[in-house]
Amino acid sequence: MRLFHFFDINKANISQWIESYKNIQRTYPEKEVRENLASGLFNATNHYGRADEFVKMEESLQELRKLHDAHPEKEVREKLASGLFNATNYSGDREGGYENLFLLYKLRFDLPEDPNRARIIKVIEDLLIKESIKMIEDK
Amino acid sequence: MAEFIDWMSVEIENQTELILLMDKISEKLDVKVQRKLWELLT
Repeated sequence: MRLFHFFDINKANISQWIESYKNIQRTYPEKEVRENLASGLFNATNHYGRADEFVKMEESLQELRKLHDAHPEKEVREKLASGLFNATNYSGDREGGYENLFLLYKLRFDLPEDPNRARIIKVIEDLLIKESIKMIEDK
Repeated sequence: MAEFIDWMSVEIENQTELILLMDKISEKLDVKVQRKLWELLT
């Protein structure tokens, strides 16, 4: 979305856009529409994370999770895994971060093709181990 | 810790994957904590 010079994402009402797309999805429940909705939710997650708007980021991620729960398809899962990866990078040690990281660990092999994919997967595994140790030692 | 281990066991249904992950986690824990973790898992 950032590539379009005429479109200023900071002025867009993303919540309204998502709600509209959910309505379209109800009317047209085709897979192609769902994939676009997943892409939009991924973009929203990314935008809110970059803008430090973590509550909205979490809400977009939650919508993406619900979409995947209802339609556990590869294309939606790939967007969910990518959204979780970005959310983990943006939110760091924030509350709820471990659950996102854990789900990302479970979906790590669903991340899209990337020349650094193997390295990214290793980073996720190492981070989960590190954070799990903290969880155990804190209890 | 028991609650956390229970949660992980539910989340990772595949026993082999769970044990491999716990093995890597326990490597870096204090021996006493390691022992407790494996007691809870078995």
